[in-house]
Amino acid sequence: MGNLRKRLAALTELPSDAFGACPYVTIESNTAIKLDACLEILAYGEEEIRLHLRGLIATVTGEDMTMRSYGDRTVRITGTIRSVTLDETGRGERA
Amino acid sequence: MNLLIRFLSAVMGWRRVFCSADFALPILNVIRREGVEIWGLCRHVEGGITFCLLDREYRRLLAQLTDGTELVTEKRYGLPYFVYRYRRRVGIPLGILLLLTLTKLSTLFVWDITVSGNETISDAEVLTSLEELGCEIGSYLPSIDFYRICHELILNNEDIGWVSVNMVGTRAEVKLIERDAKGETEENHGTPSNLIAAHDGEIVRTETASGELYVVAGEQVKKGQLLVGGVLEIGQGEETGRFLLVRARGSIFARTERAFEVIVPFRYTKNVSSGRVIVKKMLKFFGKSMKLQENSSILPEGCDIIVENKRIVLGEGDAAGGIPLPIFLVTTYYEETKEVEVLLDEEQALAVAAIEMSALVARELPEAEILSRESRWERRMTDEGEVLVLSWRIVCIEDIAEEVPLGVEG
Repeated sequence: MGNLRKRLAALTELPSDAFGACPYVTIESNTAIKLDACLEILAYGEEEIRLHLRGLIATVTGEDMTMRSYGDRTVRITGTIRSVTLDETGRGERA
Repeated sequence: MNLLIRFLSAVMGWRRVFCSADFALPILNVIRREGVEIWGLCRHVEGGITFCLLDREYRRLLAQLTDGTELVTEKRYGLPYFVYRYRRRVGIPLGILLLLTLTKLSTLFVWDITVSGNETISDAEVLTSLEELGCEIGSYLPSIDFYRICHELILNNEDIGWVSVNMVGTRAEVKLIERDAKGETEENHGTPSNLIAAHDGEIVRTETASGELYVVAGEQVKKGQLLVGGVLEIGQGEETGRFLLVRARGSIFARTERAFEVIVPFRYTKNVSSGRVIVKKMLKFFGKSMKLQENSSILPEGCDIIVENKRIVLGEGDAAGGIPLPIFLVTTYYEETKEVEVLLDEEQALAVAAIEMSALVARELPEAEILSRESRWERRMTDEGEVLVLSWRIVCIEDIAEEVPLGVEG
């Protein structure tokens, strides 16, 4: 489904988010990060939180991190954000 | 969390739960997957996480957790737990029930009465009249027939021209128009009347606003003589014999000679306070009286009674004036009196008589122009003893016009 959406976006030359093909990641300075389309929490620690987003594995590292909200598959993490790594997953892949 | 959600949470009951680090991940995933509403997520000092959720959400979460997953309730909050905690204290629910019942019952009684529109009639007179008709503070509202009360108030009080009693919540609002004010309205319309002489005298000057003048300056008039007539003949020639009735208005000033007499006995008895006062206090609540303090002394035969009625006001010192309650503190003072014989000498009796005479003249001739005054006094023997008689003969100019409605002999 994800690939189909990407193809449609490429075909129509529209941004891929118009088809909901990509999750949004919003970083607020180094104190908070908001990630859309969270499918699963893979790891939850003070220094590392790993999330399975649609088509991506997001690894957030930092200090004293806490997840704050879950509404509508959106996860908000607060704390001191040091880095965000986004790895693409294969079709049906689970980390 | 906004205030409404906070309130609803308090009503429905909520709890703070703890799960160890081992179970945090699966629980968080269940929360995310099932859309369980939580708040206040934070890490626990011993590791693991704590969060808050409604009891309803807690049960939903528990149903989704796999066996072995531990979720520990740290503390419960909200009304259901408060009620549960105090379930053995019967007084609390009974008190709440009593409060609600009393609150409901209190709306069936008159809590306050306000009177407006009165100028010459005092509030106390109106309230007393209302009380006689069964409407007072503490009266049972469904038993009051306001239509009858208004009707009888007008019938029983000559001074009241119109009255209405309306309930505003638990307060009875009495609005009235006095008959004098109504009379003024009639005055504008003009009730047919004559002006006659109130005393004998010699006419000095006349000021007529309406009506036909029957006297001239210098004329001697007798008491009851017509001065200004309210019946005007209209028409001329063959059309005579038709009359127009008007209200005669005007001032007829005459030189009159008035005699006043004041009698003062040289020996009489009067009641004076003996200094002994008995006080009785009573609490009047919703029309029912309750004795607070009673002096057991036997009341003396002759005594002056002073009743002080003080209304209890909640927050009396407040800038807003406080809330008047239907509670009165009634203090009755019984002041014992005794009869004392007073003996006056001639000089003292004369002084007393002069004071009484001045008051009498001021009352009888309030706007008169005094021209001369002849004063004399004498001692006279009566059946009740010797008295001093002070006589004043006053020559003055006063308005002798007295209005009488037509058809009534003056």
